[in-house]
Amino acid sequence: MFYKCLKYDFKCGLLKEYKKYIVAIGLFIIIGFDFSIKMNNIKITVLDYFFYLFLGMEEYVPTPGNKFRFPALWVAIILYISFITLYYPYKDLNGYGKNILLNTQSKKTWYLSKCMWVTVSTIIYFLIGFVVLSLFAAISGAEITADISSNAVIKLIPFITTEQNLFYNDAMYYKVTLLHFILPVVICVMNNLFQLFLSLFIKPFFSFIFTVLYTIASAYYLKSFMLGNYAMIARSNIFIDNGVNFTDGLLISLIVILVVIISGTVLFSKQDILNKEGA
Amino acid sequence: MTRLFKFEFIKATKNKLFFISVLIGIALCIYSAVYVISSYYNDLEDLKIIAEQSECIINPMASSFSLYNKWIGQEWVSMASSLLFLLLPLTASLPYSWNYCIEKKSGYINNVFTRVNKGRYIKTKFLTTFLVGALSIFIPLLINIMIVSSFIPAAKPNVYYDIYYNMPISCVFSEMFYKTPLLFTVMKILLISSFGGSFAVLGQATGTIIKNKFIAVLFPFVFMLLFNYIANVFSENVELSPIQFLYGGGDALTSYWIVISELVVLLTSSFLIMKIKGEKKDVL
Repeated sequence: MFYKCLKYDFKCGLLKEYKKYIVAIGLFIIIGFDFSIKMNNIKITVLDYFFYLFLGMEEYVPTPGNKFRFPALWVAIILYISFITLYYPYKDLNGYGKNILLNTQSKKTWYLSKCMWVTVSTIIYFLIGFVVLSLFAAISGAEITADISSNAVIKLIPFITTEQNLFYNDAMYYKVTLLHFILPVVICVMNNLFQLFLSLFIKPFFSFIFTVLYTIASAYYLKSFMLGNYAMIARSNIFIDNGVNFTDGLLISLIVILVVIISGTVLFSKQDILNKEGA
Repeated sequence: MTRLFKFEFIKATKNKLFFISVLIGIALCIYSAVYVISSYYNDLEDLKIIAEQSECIINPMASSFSLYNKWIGQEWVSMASSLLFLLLPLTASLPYSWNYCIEKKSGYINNVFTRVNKGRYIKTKFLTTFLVGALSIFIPLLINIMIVSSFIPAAKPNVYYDIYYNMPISCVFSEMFYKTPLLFTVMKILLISSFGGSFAVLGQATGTIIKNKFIAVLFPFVFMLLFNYIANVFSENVELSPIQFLYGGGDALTSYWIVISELVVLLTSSFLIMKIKGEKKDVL
């Protein structure tokens, strides 16, 4: 029954929502264009595009003249996928989903299927991004290699404070691993699952507002408990002394994902869905 | 028209979502006020120590701590001010932008159109949504100014401390800011409120095309979020995004024409969509 439910979710929540992913393709094309302009006449690799995608911003220190400007690209990328995965579960619960719940006789199946849908939607969103940016990189003549170039690191992170900056031309970019590109995706999956969990208790508008608050707070405060920091490569401890450790981030985010799925399943099973207000 | 407007306005303001939206704004404005007031007192303490050590008798920095650069529309240091402007399209459209599409979907509008002229009803709806959207940001801004001015004096800005106001002399509004700061503050409040109103009507216009309450409320936010990034890509020197040019300091307010034309485009396009989709099309 779980597979039937999942198939239905993919059909209604993914295929029928294709317009939102078309907008995402447009967004990724503009990102590719933006990065190419920024790196004009600099030799770059395909991975530099992904590096730019998850760059984020340096630590914000409030001082006179230093205006807090949230990283427009990073915020747009994170919040757009939160928007895509926000409404469908709520719509389903107030519509056809009720019949599915009656047929399956299991709220657990419904909730787990939605968790799976959120995870897959987020991964597909980033896969689209990776494919579009790779194509863009290939067309614009970037090197197709599995490492990032020191040119990009120097240009994008001029605020490196770790001691390696003395010789980062040679050593710094070797420290950027696959984890630095996977963890932002995992953090987005966690964000969206948490948003789904919150939507069980409050209206989706408010759970979305919470996601916005948390995302901006992560950009404002460089703290290890602000998990958004783990989705910004510029906040990694390989570049700045007080940066966050991405291995810790992976562990924390996986624990949060597990807690959200288990507690959501338990709490949703006890919830009265028939008396819930419609959208 | 007046009776209809009064009826719509009461309906819009006696609405739970309007209160929630204003409360979100007020919470952010209080957070910002507490942040700037506490940093103001910390700065005063520091100055006191410096004065004792250097035996100074006057504070030459007095005008750098002013209501005019500490209210939420001009301060750029706390997280709250950034959030307020990022969330503005959402908090402005939350109170009433969804109402027209719900009325259409439920069939309520059919009963209205048998009693009231279609065009007049749409104009009233547009005006009400604009005013409610503007009001949802105007009230929090006013509360913020009241709180901040209760603790921080309204010292006249001094052009020598332009770094503290983020208002370089090259900025188009700098003359107004340094000569008549109160007028600048009033102008900025009205500008922010007007953009709040136009985001609200943009949501309403979206709701007439895509008959979905959820999209009507969230579209202005998603649109502005993407526009904010795209504007950054295509224009480095001139700030095109309202999220950026309404936010703290005046350095981002680089052109009268951009501000006015964006406002006009938002309002006219929303109005035209509502008129064409709402008035011309048969509701039945």
